[in-house]
This record gives sequence, structure tokens and C-alpha cells, in this order.
Amino acid sequence: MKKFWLFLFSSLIALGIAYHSKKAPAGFASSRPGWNTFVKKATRNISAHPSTKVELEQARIPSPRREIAQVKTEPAKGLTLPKDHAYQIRENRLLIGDIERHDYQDERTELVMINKINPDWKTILGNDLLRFQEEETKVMIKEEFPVIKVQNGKGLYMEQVVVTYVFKNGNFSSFHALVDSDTGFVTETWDRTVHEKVRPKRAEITLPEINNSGIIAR
Amino acid sequence: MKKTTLTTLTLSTIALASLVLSSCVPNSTSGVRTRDSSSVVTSTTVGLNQGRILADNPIILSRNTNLADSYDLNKLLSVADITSNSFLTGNNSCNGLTYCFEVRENKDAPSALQTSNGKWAYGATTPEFLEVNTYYHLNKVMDTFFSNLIGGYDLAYTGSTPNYKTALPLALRNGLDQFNVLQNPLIAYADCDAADNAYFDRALGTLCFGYLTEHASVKWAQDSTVVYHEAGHFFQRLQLNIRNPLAYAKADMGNIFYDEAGALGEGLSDFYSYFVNGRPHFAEWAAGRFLAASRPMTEDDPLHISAVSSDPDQRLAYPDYLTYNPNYSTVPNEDIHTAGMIISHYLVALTTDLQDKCAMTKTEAVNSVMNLVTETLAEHGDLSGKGVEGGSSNRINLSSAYPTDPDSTLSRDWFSLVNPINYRSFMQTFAKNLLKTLGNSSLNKCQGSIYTRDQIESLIDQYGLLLFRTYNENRNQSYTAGGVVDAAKTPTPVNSNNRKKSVLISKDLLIFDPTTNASSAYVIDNRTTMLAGITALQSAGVMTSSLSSQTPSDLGFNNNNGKISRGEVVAIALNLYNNSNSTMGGIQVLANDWNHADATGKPCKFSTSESKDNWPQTSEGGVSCTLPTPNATLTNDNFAPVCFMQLNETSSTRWVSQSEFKTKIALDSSMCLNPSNPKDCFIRAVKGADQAHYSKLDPKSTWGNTMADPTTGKAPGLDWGNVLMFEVSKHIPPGTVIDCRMRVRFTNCDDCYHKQKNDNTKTNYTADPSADGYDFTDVEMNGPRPYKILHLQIPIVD
Repeated sequence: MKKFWLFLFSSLIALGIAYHSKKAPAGFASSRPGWNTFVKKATRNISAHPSTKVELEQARIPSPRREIAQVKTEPAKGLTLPKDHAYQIRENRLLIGDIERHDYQDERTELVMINKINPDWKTILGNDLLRFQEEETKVMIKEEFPVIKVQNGKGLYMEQVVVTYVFKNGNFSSFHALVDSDTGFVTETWDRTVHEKVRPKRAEITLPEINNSGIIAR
Repeated sequence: MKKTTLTTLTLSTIALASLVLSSCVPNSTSGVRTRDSSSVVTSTTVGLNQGRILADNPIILSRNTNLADSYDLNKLLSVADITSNSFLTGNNSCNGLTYCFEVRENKDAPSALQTSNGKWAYGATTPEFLEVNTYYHLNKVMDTFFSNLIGGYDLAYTGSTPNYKTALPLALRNGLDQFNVLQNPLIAYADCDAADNAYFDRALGTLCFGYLTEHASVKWAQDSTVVYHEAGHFFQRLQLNIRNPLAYAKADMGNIFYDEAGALGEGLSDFYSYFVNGRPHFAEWAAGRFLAASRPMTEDDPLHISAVSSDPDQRLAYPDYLTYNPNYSTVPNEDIHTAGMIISHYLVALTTDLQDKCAMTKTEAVNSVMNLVTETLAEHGDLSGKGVEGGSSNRINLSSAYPTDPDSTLSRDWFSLVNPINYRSFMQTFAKNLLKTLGNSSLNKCQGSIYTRDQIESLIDQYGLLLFRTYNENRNQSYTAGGVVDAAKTPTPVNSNNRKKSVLISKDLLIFDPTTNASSAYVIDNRTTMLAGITALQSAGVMTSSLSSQTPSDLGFNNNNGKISRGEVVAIALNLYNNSNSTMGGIQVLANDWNHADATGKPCKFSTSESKDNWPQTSEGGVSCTLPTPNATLTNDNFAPVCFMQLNETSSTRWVSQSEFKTKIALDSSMCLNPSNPKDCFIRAVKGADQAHYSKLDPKSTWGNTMADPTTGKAPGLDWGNVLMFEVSKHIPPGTVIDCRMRVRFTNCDDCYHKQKNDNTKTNYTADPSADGYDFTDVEMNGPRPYKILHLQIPIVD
């Protein structure tokens, strides 16, 4: 009997883990809406894993304790939305764009979607963000509340993310981005980091010594 | 299994879980983040909830401008109230007109510092001291800012009734909204591992105060002015987005390269330091003492050259002082931090002028100025399109003119690209806000009188910033639906007699370098250089779209021959020339999509009243186009890519759209740079790198002449903000010629932002000469009229 209960207890834990893992996007071990890290190891070798504590610290990403100040309201995909009287939600996604003409919050209101949610959107995004970067560059991506953008009476699934680059030399930069849920490509960015480097380094782009571009200007 | 066994198993699991969880949570006895302050500082003068801080930066406290980095800063500490919280945290709630923040040592610290004895006194060389000092000054600037904001609401509203057209949203005051960009507490890292740097990370909501590489004991957090400055960037984010719901809280002050919005952001942040401490100089210790990088905010500062003074003719005026660095005054410097000094000097001068003209105390005056800054940023940052409270009295950032995208992408394009914040637009809105508050007799804010229009305009002019001809109170609403002037919404004119120092220049005087054999444009196609540019732009979030999947990740088509070849990603630098006798400031080249083709994509040949472009001739494919009225609704047809293709046919050679060219050569859409958008199938400006900025052009000079070091005669290299970036398809036939029709303007341009009488009498939609001096509307900014048009005809080589 004792063995039976132990077996049952272990099975329940295993089932829980399996269920948890199944919900995760393809290529990720974690289903939590946390951070995922992509690393460029070679030109055609980009790997992904849930961000580790060390990586989060390296990127100076604050620990979750700060979340205590969030107002717990409407959950969307496990994320919290702040208090704002203007929010409209559909399919657990924030509605943006041309949303005043119809009550799209009411899911009985027809809204034709012109793209789909690609379960690999984050993998595509991670690869695209590292495509031109040097080897050993990391990019860390965190999902924020997802979006449906209404345009011309049709809906577009979009993902909001925070992107943080961590470079080999320890430098990093962050920004917000809006991503097409189907293609995984960035469509908009904002919240770029403001640096106070006292001796900013200019790119020093060198012009060709002999200009033979053939361009005719007028 | 017995019941007791099951209970034991459950309890054991809970106990084990509790043990694991509890080990992760910091507490007062964990020892890592606490330090008994009494063991560090022996003074008994520190009471409960008090700590030791540097009340100002060490240079000011010691009165020694040559203070050594080895100086014992303990000698400069004083006692101040810190917090009764057990952790170094502010409010836990971020709701309403309040703030929340915490201070941590660095990225490795799991939480804020905790006190074990209710005191916050630490030795000046400890990281704990840096945390306490940062907390004290951050709390101080937060208190000052939010008190000022509440004061601003008191000025703007009586109950729920606006006292003037305010940009402050009533919903925020009434608790219906919270600051949409303040969802989490701001976290400040007081002892950050950033070398020679401090920063505000907008996306993560963190401040970081680093150290000096060559003087490791010198920390940015030891300088309170730096704390105020960085917090200023945080406040600007609040101010710009105060009217934006969370989903659209995307207004940034400039991009990371040189532009005037970025310069204004830095100048305003300097002003935050003055706002708190009343001292018109920034960063004497952290930046000034060891790096020669501090910044004055008044012309009487001894750091300035002798030609600068508070005499009306010797102010730090636009645009001549845009590249002036008082620390290295002989070498031109294109940098947002120094270019921002013009606005910080103006705001300090205005504070002084209000004390004089309106008999205000210094505190009252600086609070009034900060209220005006908040109103100005709140209006400009509004991406939902209204700008101010109350119906249709105002329009900004296009959104109302584009119902299919009322709140998002296009409004940001207008905010950051098409009609962005620059010195002219900021000062025009700021002046309008001065007029409707301190210039409003019903508010009685100027000792029973008003701050007059002449006073407003006179001081702005001393800074060379009287660059607008009206106060533009109604923006896009100045016209009726028919496109003629709405007499009821006539904007207040600027008295032209007050324009003594401010110089306005015709756009026609901005040309390509006319020097014999001079190049007009350069192509940079070096693989290493371009990879560096792409990675820099992409990782900074400047590049707002992906490059085509047909572009190889090693830029394998880039061949460094200085020409544009198939499959390359290239940068193009224009060699512009100021053909006037005055300095041009804020030159901006635009390569974004705009209204220069008809609905079928054929290139518009504008009438002479619309533009002097005169391209292409009808025989070359040009068609006449009807431009939208000033407040029309824009549609997708009003946006065409910047480049056209030359199509050689047996009987003619025509300029055609990329879409038509694709059809003519029977190329499948899947071969386009973006298979879902044949409009820019063959060549496209990279989004985010589709504008280039130059700080200024001296009279009769190129940028290279302007920026040249007088000692060496050489200009610095170009930065990524100085060039345009284009992506070229590998499927474009060699020998094809492309025409990219770009638009250029500058901030002190007399016919780029507002109309002139002869401009209006020749328009195709209104013959109303009373619109003289009216600003072009957001819709008109999408067309040719406000710009000088430049062409690059580019042969594509194999």
C-alpha cells in the first residue's frame, strides 16, 4: 500500500510537469511568461533556453520582487494588466487600433483575423534579432501582454516583448518591440535606452577615397 | 497507507517547500543586504530613520574645484531624514499621482538595502552609502516633480473644469488612470558596473549610476546632479506619455543618434537638476572634475568663452551654439548633450525673467517653468491625436486624419519622423503654453498682470528660437473641411519686430555641394562597416523592421566598390551645402514613404505651385496628382516608397513604380524584398535608418567644413545618424537606374514648417492669403510643399 501511494504521488508530479511543458511554446522548456535567451554560437547556430539567473543579472534585469507593485487585475496569458479605464480585451489580448466602431470585446462580434499565431514566433524573432550579430551575442526576450491590432475592420495578432541584447564585452541595450505573431518579425520599437556616456564614440564611418558611385544628384 | 502516514508525507512536503522558498526571500536576518550602520559611522548624531548623505556634489560641498579623487568624502557628509521603511524603497503603490521606486546596490542585489537598526548611516566609501545617497536624492527629485505636477493640475483645473486648453488629462488626477509607463517601481542601481556611464533603461525601468574608469573611487551616484539628470529622463517619459494609454505609451525623446529631440531631452534633464537645487551647473564632480564634461546652464558661468554672456546679443543662441562644447570650445562637437545646452540656458533665463517680470520667488518661477515643460511634452507626446483636453480644438501626430490606424504606428511616425519634436516645434508649443497661462490675465499668475507676448517673444528671440510665425493654437483644426482657413480659429501671430536674432532661411538655399568636382553623395558598401551599422541599429532598437530574408547574414553581396550592387545593404551619405549667409540648424533628410505617386503608383509631377521639383516630365511617366486638403483623411494610396525605377521600352524610357517594374520584368512577388509588399520590391530605405540628421551647416559650408577641427582641418567621421541605409534586391537587373526622390528640411527654415503668402496664393486648394505664416498641417507634411526635394539617380551594377 505504501508503494502504491508513493507511485501515485510521483505520477501526479510527473503528469504536472508534462502538462506544464506541453503548454510551452516550441523550443522552450518553460511555460512561464518569463525571459528566454537566444545565443548566437555560429553563423547558422542559434540556441535557445529559458534565461538563467546569471543571465538576467548580467543584463541588469531586476528580479521579480518588483512585481509586488503591480495592480492585479485582468490576467492575460498569466500576465497582469495595469489599471486603465481604456483597456479592451479579446482572446486575452489587448485590443488596439481602430476599436471604437464595434464592441470587439464581445467575442460574438465578428473580427476576421488576417494572420495566425505561429507557435514558433519567438524562435523566429530570436533568430532574426541575432542574424547579423557577432558570435556569442545573446538576446533575451520577455513576453508582455499580447495584442490584437484592428485595422480596416480586420484583426492582426501581435506580441509585445522586451528585448535585451547582451554583448560579448558585457555591454547591453534594451527596448520594447511589437512583433507580428505569424512572421515573428519586429514591426515597431520604442523605449530605447538613454546613455550618458561622457565620451560617446562616433561610428567613424569612412567615406570612399575616390567616389565612383555613379550617382547623379540634383 | 495509514492516515497518519499520508499526513506526515503532506506535512513533510509542505515543510520542505517552505524551506526552499524561504531561502529565496531576503529578510532582516539574512545578513547579505544589511549592515549595522552604527558599526560603520560612530557619530551619535544620526537619529532613527536618518542617514548620512552628500547634500550636494563634493565639488560644491568642499568649495574646491580641484578636489582630488582620494579626498575623504566622509568629511563632507551630513545628516538627513531618509525613510522609516525597513528597506530603501519608496511607495509600494504606483497608482495615481504618486511614485514608487527602490534603490539597490547593483544588478546582483536581489532587493533594496535593509536597515537593522532603523538608521542609514554608512561610510562614504561603502556601496551602502551610495544606495542611501541615491535614495535620498531620488526621493527628493521625485517629491519635487510630483508636487509640481499636482501644482500644475491646480493651475489647469478648477474642479473638473479646465482653466485653459491643458494637455494634463483629468482622468489621471481623478484616479481613473495611473501613469501608464509607471507600472512597476523604478529601480536605481547605485553602484552599477557601467564604466564612464550612467543611463536610464526605459524598457526595463532602471537607472544605473556607474563609475569612472580612470578614477574608480569616483562614482556617478556621489553627484546628486547626476541623479536628478537621470531621473529627468524618467520624468520625460512620464510627461511625454501622460496622455497615452499603455498600449500606445511609446513616445521617446529622440533616437540614440544625434537629433534635436534627443538634444532637447538632454537639456531638459540638465534643467531638472536646476529645478531641484537651483544651481545652474550640471555634474561638476562626476563629469566635470575628471572628464571635463560638466555643463553650465547660464551664460554667466565662468566655464563659457568670453563671447557668451547674458547680454541679449551674447546668449547661447540657436543654431550657432549647437556644436559648442564649453570644455573644448575650439572643436565643433555634434552631440545631443552639448546641443541641449541651448534649451537649458533658455529655461534658466526664463526662470530669472519670471522672477523679475512677475515678482515670483525663484521657487515659484522654476515651478511655473516646469509646468510649462510638462504641458509641452504632454501635448507633443500624445499619440492618440488630440494633444489637449476637450474635443476637436487641437490635433497632433496625424492620428485623427487616419481612421484606419487611429492610435498607433502612423502617429509614432509623425511624432518621431514626419513632424518631430525639434527646437522650433518645442519652442512654439512652449510659447503657446506661456501665452495661455502666464500670458492669460484671467489666471492672474503674474503679479496682477501678465507676462506679455513681447516679453515671451523677446527672450525666445535672444536664443535664436523665434522660428515660428504664429503660436499655432489649433494645429490641424485651423482649416475647414474644404481646406480653407477657418476664421474662428485664427492662430495668434508672432510680432515680427521681435525677431531680431532668430534667422529664417529659405529651403532653396540648401543644396548639394557646388564645389567643382565635389561629390554629392557617397555610397558605403564595405561589408564590415555595414555589418557594424546594422548590428548597432538593430540592437539599439533603432531599426524598426527586419531586413529581407534574401539578404545574407554575412552581407555576402557587399563588395566595397563604392557603388550600389545587387543584393547589398548600403549607407548613403549626402554632401549638403548651406548656400546662405546664415547658419542652418537641424538638417533632416527623409527617405520614408510619402505622397509622391498617384493611386496606381505613377510618379507625381508636381505643379510649380506645389514644388520646384519638376520631375518627371510627362513623357517620362510623370502624372499630375491632386494633393489632399490640409485636414483630409490619408489612405494607403498617399504613401509611396521613396525610389522609382527607370523602365526602358522600345519607344520610350519611363519612371515607374517598383510594382509596375516587377510586373514588366515578370518577377514573381516571392522574389521581392518583402514578398507581401511589391511596392518596394527592389530597393527600400531601412525603416529606422530612413532619416539622417546633421546638427548644423555654417554659412557657405558643407557639414565637413562645419565640423572640421580648426587645428587639423579634418571633420570627424560620420555616425549612423548621419547616413541613410538602403537594402537592394539581388533580383534587380544590372544596369537598372533608380531615382530616389528624397525630402530635406532644416529647423530654422522659413518655408518648411509654415507657409508664406506667395505659397498660399499658388496652392490648388486655397487662395486665402491670410494663411501666411500658418503651420503646414500633419497631412501637408506628407507631401512635397514643406521640403526641398533632392534626387539621387543610382545605377545598379552587377
